[in-house]
This record gives sequence, structure tokens and C-alpha cells, in this order.
Amino acid sequence: MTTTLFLVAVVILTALFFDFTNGFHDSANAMATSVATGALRPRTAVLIAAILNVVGAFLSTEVAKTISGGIVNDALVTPTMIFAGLVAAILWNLTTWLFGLPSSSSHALFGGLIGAVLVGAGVSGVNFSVVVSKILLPAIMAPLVAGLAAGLATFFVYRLLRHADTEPAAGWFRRAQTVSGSMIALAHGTSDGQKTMGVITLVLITAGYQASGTGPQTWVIASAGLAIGLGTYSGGWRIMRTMGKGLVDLHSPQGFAAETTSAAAILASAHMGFGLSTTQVCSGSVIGSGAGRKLSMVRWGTARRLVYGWLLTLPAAAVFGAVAAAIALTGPFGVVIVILALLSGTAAIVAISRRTAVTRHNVNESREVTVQFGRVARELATSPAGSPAEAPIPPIIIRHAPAPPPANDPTSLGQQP
Amino acid sequence: MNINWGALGLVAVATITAAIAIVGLFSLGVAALTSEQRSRGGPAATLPTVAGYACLTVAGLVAVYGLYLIIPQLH
Repeated sequence: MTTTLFLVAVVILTALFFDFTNGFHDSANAMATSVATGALRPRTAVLIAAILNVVGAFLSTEVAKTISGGIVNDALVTPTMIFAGLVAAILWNLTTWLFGLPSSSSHALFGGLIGAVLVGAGVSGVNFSVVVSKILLPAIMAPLVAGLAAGLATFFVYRLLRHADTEPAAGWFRRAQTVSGSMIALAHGTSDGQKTMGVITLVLITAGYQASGTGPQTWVIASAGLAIGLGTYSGGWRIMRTMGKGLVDLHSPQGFAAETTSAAAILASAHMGFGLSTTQVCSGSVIGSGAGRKLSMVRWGTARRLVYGWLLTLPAAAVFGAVAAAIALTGPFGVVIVILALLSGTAAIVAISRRTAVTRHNVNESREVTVQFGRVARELATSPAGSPAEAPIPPIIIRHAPAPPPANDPTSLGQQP
Repeated sequence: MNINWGALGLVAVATITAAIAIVGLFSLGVAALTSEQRSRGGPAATLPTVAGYACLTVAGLVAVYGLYLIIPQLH
């Protein structure tokens, strides 16, 4: 029984760690545009988002009854496979964060689970038609629907504002952004907070520590809410920079249009049974709000990187999950090795990120997130002047735009003369 | 393969309609309240002021409805 207890404790801690990465990965979804347009100061923004995420976690009553929503056969899933899937999802979340890529935490978790189940239970454990209908199709639809809606909304905003006085109007939109961003944060808490609670509860039930069919215990709700809240508060500034600055130089009417669209899309999809990824909805809205004013406002190179990240998320997490499961399923010793791999991988990624740190102080100062490996700095954008991977120092930073325009004035509507 | 195309279409239509309606309404209100004429110190006409605040109020009510949708305890 001590082995079971050990495993349950490990899975719970890993699940909470995943929840933390989920929070800091997704705080950009709610607050990147508010931070970029100056509607909220960075620390205020993440504090509001964190509180609302915790509140949302407590509000959600409909806790996930399945780990994956039918993507894998839950009857065949063991706590060790869940552990391997969680480790894969954490490492993928951290990797995409390092590169400043907003990618879906849910997709990372599903990918990790798929990989782990393929190794642990074989091909029959994965429901591939559900993968298509619940992951691939929504992944294509989310950015298109959000982008179209935000584009149209932005187009109409600027039509209506033609005769408005820019400065007071921008003030109104910044105030409205506080509301729209908060709605996204609250909705996020109710949906993503309950995912981790569901995982922990199912593990407790599987191991016999909780009666089948009972809801999550209070300490599970509290710790999951706290983990996602702390993650959100820590900011995930690298992703915040890409979403708020890298894709489009947003002005407050665009930020409001993007956030309102995202909130509408999240609520509509949650209530009509066609779940869309929050991350993909929010990224699509930001791109749409740029394109709705002027197609050339969008940095399509950055948008392309985002799409590559989304395409990679599921298979990459699946590979991580498969490797982790192959090691962890060999026994307690294997689990310990995977734990050590998780810790050292996390430490390495954090150490690399420190070299080109993005914090709440400098989040708006640049558009690009640079990653410096060893003596080589490389901007990950695919640029025509792409540097060879072995380029020597000095660090090469390739900008998304040939010549960056002057810094975004948060008080302006950004109307061209 | 069981793809719920109806739900997908509904989500798309609802998102686009809601986004345009809310953002449009709010912008209309802001435009009415911040016209250039008003900033130049001209007399604040009553009709645009009332209409502007009415637009903002309706947009706010939609936000409250959104809150209602988010919080499961309310329904």
C-alpha cells in the first residue's frame, strides 16, 4: 500500500504543478491585450486574473467526470499513465513558454495522455475519432471563428469612431477592457480549474481513497484553485509579450474587441457543447482585431509560428508522454527517474529563460521573445535572414518587422492621420 | 466519427453576432459621448448624451448576462 500512497501523492503534486503551468500559460489569454494597451498595469492585471481564476475554480460545480473527455479509454488508464501524461504536458507547457508561444494547455495534457496510453495500453486505448472531432476540428475552427468575429467587430468600431475624440474614447475602451478581460479570467477558472480537480479526484477514487461517484473534496478544490491562481499571478510574461505585442500593436478599441470576442466565443462554445481552446480563441481574436483595421497590422510571421506551435503541441506532448510512460511503467524506480527528469528539465528551462528574462517590468518594451542557448542567441522567428543555428556570438536578434515603429502610445486610439 | 456540425455552426454564429453587437453598441455609445464637437467645448446636446449612456448601459447588461452564464450557481 505504501507504493500506492507514494504514487497517489506523486500524481497529485504533479497535477498541481501542471495546474500552475496552466495558470501562467493562460494568464496571457485574459490579460495580454489589457497589459499591452495600458488598460491595466501588469501587476494589477495578473492579480485580478489570479483572483478571478481562484473564484472560478470554486464556482465550477460540474467537475470533469472523465480525465480526457473520451479521448483515451479511461478504464485502461492507470495513475502511472496519468503521471506520465502530466509530466509531458508540464514540460511542453514550459518549452512553449520559453519560446513565448501561446499553446493550449488542454491539448498538451491530451497529447501527453495519448502518448502514455499508447505505450501503456496500446492503440485500442486511444479513441482517434474523438481526437479528430474534439481536438483537430475545434483547433481549426477556434482561430477562424474568433478571428472573423474580432475582425468584423474591430472594423465596425473604427467606422463608428470616425468622428469621436480619440483621447476620451480610448479611456472608455480601456475601462471596458477591464471588464472584458475579467470575464475571460473567470470563465477560464471555471473550466480549467476543474480539470485538475477531476484528475486528482479520479486518482483518489482509482486508488481507493475516495468513494466512487463522489465529488472533489474541499482540499482538492482549494489546492487546485490556489495552484492555478499562483500560476496566473506569476504572469507568464513571455507569452504575454507575444500575445499583446508580438502579433499586433494593439490599441484599446482593438483590445476591447478582441477580449469581448474571446469571452463571447468561450461562453458560446461552453454552452453549446462544442468546446474551443481558450488559447486558440484568444490568439485568433488578437489577430482578427489587427486584421480588421489593416491586414498589414498583423505580423504574419509571428502568427505562422503560433500555428506551428499548435500543430506541434499534440504530437510533441504525445512523444514526451510515451517516453515518460515507458520509463515510469517499469516500477517505482522508473517513476523516480521521471520525477528527476521533470525537475531537471524544469530547472534547465527556467535557467535558459533567465538569460533573456521577460518580466512585468519589461513585458511591453519589445515585441520579440528571445531564447539564448549557451553562447548563441537566436530569435525563433523564421526570417529571410535566418541565422545558422551554429552562429557565433554576438547574439543575433532578428526582428519581426524590419524597422519597429515608435512605441505604442497607450493613450491613443492608434488612428492613422 | 460524430461531429456536431449544428453546434459548431451555432457557436460560430453566436460568437460573431455577440461580438459585433456588444462591441458595436459600446462603440456607438462612446462615439456619442465623445464627439469632436463636444470636446471643442460646444454645448453638450441632450440627445447624444442620453443615447450614449443608454448604449453603454445595454452593453453593461450584456456583460451581466455573460456573468450569469459563467456562474453555474445562478442557473
